[in-house]
Amino acid sequence: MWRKTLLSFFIGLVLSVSITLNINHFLPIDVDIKLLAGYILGFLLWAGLIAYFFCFETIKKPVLQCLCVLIISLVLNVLIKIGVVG
Amino acid sequence: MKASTIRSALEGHGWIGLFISIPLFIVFWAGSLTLFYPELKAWSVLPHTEFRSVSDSLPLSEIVDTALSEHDVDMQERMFVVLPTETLPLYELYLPVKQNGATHTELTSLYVDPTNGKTVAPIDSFHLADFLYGLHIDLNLPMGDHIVGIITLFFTVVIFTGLIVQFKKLITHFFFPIEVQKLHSAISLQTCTM
Repeated sequence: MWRKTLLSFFIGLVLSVSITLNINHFLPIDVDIKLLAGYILGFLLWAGLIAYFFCFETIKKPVLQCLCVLIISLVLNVLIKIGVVG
Repeated sequence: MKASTIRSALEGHGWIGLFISIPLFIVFWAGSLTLFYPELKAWSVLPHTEFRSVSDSLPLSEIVDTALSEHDVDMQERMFVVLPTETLPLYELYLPVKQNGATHTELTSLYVDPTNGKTVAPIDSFHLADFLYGLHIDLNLPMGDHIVGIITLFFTVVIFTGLIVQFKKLITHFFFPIEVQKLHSAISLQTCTM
C-alpha cells in the first residue's frame, strides 16, 4: 500500500501537471481564467489519478498505463514549447 | 464495475482514511471554533478590563493623540484603527513604532481603553483565538500549509474512491428508505470483504 500511495502521488503529480499544461495551451480563454481553471483541474486530476491507482490490486497495470499517457503528454509539452505545435 | 475494483477502492478508501482522519478532524474542529474568532478574542481580553459600553467612548482624535504621545510613531508610515464594538468595546490601534534609532519601524498593536485612552495590553499577548485559527490553517506546524494541502488532496481521493465504491447504487438506491439502504450496504460490504 505504501508503494501504491507514493507511486500514485508522484506519477499523478507529473501527469496532472503535464495534461493540464496541454489543455491550458489549447483553451481559447484569458490567462487569468486559465490559471484558476488549471489550478482546479490539475488538483482534481491529481486526486483522480491517485484514486485510479487505488482501483487496482497490483500497481503494474496503472503504472504502465499512466507512463504511456505521460510519455505522449510530455512529447506534446515539448512540441508546444519548441513551437512545432501552435 | 468489477468486484475486484470495488474491493481495491474500498481498501484504498480505508487506508487513506486511516492517515488523514485525525489531522482532518483537528482542522475541521479548529475551523468550527474559528467561526467564533471575535468572541474568543473578547473572551480572553475582557477579563483584563472593567465593563465598558461603546457609548462611553472618547473621540477617536483624543485616543490617537494619547497613543502618539506615548509611543515614538513614524508619521510617514500607515497606521490603522479598529473602532470599539458591542462585542469588544476597546479600540485596536496598529502603530508603526520606530525601532533601533528610527532605522526601521515595527507595527505595534494595542488595545486601548475607550473611556480614558490608556493602553490595556498589546494585542499580541492574547494567543487563544490566533492559536485556534493557526490550527485550522496550518496545524501550527512548520510546513503546515503544505501538510494540510496534501491532506486535502488525499481527502479528495477518499471522496473519489467512496464514489467508486457506491457508484452502482448512487442513483438507483438514492431514494430507498434508509433501513433498506442499511441492509443493502451491509450485504455489499460483506461481499467486498469476503
